[in-house]
Amino acid sequence: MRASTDISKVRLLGWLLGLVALCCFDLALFRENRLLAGQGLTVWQLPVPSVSLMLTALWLALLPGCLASGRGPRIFGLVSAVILLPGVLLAVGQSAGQILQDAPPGARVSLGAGFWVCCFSLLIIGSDLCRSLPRPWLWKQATLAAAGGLLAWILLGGAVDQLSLMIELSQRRERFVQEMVNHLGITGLSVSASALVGLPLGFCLFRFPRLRQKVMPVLSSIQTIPSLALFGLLIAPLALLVTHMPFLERLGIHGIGWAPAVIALALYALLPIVHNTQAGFASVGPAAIEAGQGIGMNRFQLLLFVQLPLALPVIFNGLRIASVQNIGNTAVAALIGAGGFGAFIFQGMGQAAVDLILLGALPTIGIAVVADWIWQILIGCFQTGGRS
Amino acid sequence: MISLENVHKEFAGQPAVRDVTLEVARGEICCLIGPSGCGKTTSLKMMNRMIEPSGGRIRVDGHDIRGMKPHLLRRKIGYVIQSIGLFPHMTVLENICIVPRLLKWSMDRARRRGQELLELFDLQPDVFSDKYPHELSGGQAQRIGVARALAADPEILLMDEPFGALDPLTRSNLQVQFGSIQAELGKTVILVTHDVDEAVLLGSRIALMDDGRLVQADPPERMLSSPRNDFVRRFFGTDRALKRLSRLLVRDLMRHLTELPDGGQPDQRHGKPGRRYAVEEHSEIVWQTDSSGLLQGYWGGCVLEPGQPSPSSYVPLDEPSAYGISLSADLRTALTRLLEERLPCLPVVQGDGCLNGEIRLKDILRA
Repeated sequence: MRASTDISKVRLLGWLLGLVALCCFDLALFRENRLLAGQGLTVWQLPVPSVSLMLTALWLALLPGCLASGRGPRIFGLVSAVILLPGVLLAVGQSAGQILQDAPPGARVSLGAGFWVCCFSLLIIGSDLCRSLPRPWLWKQATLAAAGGLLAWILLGGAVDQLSLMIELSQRRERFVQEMVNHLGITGLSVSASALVGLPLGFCLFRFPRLRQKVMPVLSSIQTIPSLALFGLLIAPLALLVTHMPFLERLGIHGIGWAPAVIALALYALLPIVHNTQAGFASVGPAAIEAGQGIGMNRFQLLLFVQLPLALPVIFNGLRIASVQNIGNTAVAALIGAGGFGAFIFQGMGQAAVDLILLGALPTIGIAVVADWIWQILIGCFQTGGRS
Repeated sequence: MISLENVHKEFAGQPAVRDVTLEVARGEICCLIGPSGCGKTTSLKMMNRMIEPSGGRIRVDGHDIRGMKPHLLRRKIGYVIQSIGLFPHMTVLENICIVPRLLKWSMDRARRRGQELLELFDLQPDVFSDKYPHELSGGQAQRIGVARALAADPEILLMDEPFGALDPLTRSNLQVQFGSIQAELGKTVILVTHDVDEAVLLGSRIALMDDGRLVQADPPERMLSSPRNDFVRRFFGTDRALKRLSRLLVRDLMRHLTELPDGGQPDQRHGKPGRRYAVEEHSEIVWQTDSSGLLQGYWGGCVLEPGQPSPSSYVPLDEPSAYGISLSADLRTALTRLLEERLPCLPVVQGDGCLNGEIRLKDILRA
């Protein structure tokens, strides 16, 4: 009775989807050179049969974890999912080395649709399993840390260096580091600038509700402007400003480049930061405020000891949203010469080189996930013991 | 300790408190009571400047409170609200220690004080110190709320419907506990409530308000026995006579007993050892004790005239200690027992079960 209600349809569906992807879709693509259309390789067409069998066996071993209601099998399922994700990557990467040995120089092996669908279904299974365990927050963090650590080990350890993606990387290692610094710099600078304005502004809107009706619509309408349009809109006024104030040029500010990108992204980040700051303060219960006043706290103490600590998780959540959103939007800023991982994406699009696009897109996603994770841990720390 | 002189408060031209004059002496529990919207909470909140009066003067300990910084004034006055308002991000101990910390006590001293207060409220410090408010039951949370208000040992405690949100059983337990703690500490307490029974139970004085005016402020017995007008009479309800009885104790109305001389023994024939007691020689009931004074039984329906044979018979009691009523029981309880068991009188016993006196239905009815 209990077991039947405990079977998660989400997990089962994820597992079936992954099975279909693994057996029927192409795990890898073989190309004569990086721009040609590829030839798909399913799991059965991988050069080493034992690898194919092991992958399939591991996937079948995941089933009890997806179906079972007990805690033990579920933890086992989670562990297998964490191993499988880098495992599939490792299998394809090692196979790539085998395939390329007998292939003409310049041939490439890329990751196929089957690989990505497998990753997606593992993600679904993993997150659903975490949620079904007691203390889901801890399990989620542990799973993320384990999977992230294994992936980093495989990627940095050179085990998959024969994959086309890694070859693209090895050809522009210095540039990759440079664009990562750019990307992080633009995101960090824009979010910090936005926080510097947005946190006090949010507090003001909380204190003066009448101001809220005037400011919030403005911030919302900024969000509706497409990022590319906003970048473009800033080019002319900035260029004008620089011609009139030459010292700005010495600071590295131009009509194009990082300056308009940072300004536009800071404007985008303003809405979540201001909104959450205001909402965070508004969410503090009136009983706690009255008790604080009645006990003899002055305004500053009330803010410091009661309002701020209680509002902090919500405020941090605003910063989290702003960070993740800006990491994504920074990719677009490459179009106005700001650099960042977007540069690879647009270069790859120009050359129709899918792996170069991925070289820009995957790290962008990676940074966003890591930033999200760090903020969530911070928020979790400030919530311990607090509201249930 | 606290005095209100012609205090007046208007909200947007609408009077909420009109010309209230009230003096609360040190050690008193003054219950502000009245229908909702009568201005009782507003009056309370003006005492620690949570609300500023529109007119009149409020003194605390002889000083006009307008001359003090509100937050400094409030640190000297404990404040308990119905919604409790424990800080959800602080542990129980941190909540209690917040005022001492604001007053710059050392961490050590504040912690010691916090644990002392937890013990006072029957909450084991090692269990509760590190709990968070959302882990507490309503009754526990409100006890922490009161403990927090008492942390810096203020002379005055303002309480706004402190037990209002609790279930009836927890509420009456907490009322009794608070009553005994207050008796020990001797704080000056202003307590806002809409519960007449709570006011009668806890208050040494009740101040009844209606439509912003103070209607009558008197000790509960007087409020109940001589209501000033129809409103007071109606407010305290048709059972106000019973409520009044709950303020009076058996010891106040008890009749003393005298030991009957041997000659007056109704029936030496039974040769019962021990002693016999009665209010007077002609009492209908004679109480029988053993030689140490413990109640054993009674002789019913006897007319004790020397020389006359007695028609009375002896009734032994199975559970004498449960049959007698305690000295410190209230008259409402005594009356209930008498009516339930259709008795004209009950023996009054001390804590150790020794016979002490007699309480009569007739006396209660006349009280």
